[in-house]
Amino acid sequence: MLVCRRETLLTADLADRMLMMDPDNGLYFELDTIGTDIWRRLATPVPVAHLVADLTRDYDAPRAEVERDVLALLHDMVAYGLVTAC
Amino acid sequence: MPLPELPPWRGAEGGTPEIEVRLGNVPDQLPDIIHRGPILQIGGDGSCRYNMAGVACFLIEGGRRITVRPHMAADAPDVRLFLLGSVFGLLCHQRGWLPLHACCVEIGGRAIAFAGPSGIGKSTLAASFVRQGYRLLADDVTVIDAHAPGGPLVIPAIGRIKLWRDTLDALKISADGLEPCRNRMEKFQVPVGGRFQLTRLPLTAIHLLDRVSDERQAELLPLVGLQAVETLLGAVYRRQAGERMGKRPQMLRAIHRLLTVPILALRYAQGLSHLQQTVYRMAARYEGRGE
Repeated sequence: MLVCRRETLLTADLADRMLMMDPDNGLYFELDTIGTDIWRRLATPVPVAHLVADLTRDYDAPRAEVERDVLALLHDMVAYGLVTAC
Repeated sequence: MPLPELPPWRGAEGGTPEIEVRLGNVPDQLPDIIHRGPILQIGGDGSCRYNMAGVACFLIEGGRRITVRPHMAADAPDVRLFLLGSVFGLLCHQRGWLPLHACCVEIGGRAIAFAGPSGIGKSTLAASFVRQGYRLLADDVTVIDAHAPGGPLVIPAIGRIKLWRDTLDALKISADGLEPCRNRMEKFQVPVGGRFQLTRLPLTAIHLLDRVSDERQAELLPLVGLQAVETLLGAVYRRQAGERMGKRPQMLRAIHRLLTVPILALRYAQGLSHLQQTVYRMAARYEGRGE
């Protein structure tokens, strides 16, 4: 399954975080440092398995832990319409 | 009806007015009502009916037409108070302009805004700036064209400052000959005359005013991210009405553009001498950044 960013979101780069505003539903969000990094990795649609593998390597963390955290984040992002499965 | 608060048109002859204000009849019910409150009705086409008992009923349509049916003498200050306040605020939402509950002054050729709730000292601050020789763009509602090509612009509003009698006394301004904001109200309209900024200026900073009891707690703090968005949303004039009109997406788009401008929390101590200090500090801060 590929994960795609919703491109109608308004974003603003903060020093180490990212602000996202969704004018369609009136909600706004802030991503922390790792969330921002993951968002940037979604600039082109990417399979979840690749995303998890890349993060496991780059953060030098246990794969199971990375997978659990990434799935939880993606779950929230889908729920709030920030990303879609494509 | 006379509108002495607005400066006379000095532009080209024969242009089409952008906003028409007329006396006339206002229907009791708007078509396809999407909101019905005690004062405000919103129609399916986004038109608004704003009825202030004992003062006037207003119909606001298409961001360019206001019909006034006074319940009292049409030239009473009360009618203009609501027309130039809430009613113009609703018109701004219809036009896609962002009205901020803020005063705004010109410093060094740029527009500097000071936002905050009623009673926080916006008008007093504006009056202090004007007394120091700075020009006024707005004393209570700062109207912003957030999507102007070169960056957010402030559209000058109304060349007067509304001040309570005790503030007039403290600033040593005589209330003689001043028109009250409403009949028998101890709040007066102080015209600023030649100190009114007639043209649009780039918005260069927005301050959120907050009063502290002790001068040592006075500070200037940048607001970013969620904090900036939340503070700006909270400062949108007639925000709830705007949201009921379905304008929240438009507000967020405008606020997103405003994030290119510094947003700062300005905590200042109560009292006129501290206010004077604030004026000096702000003038020094923004005059120093000239071309």
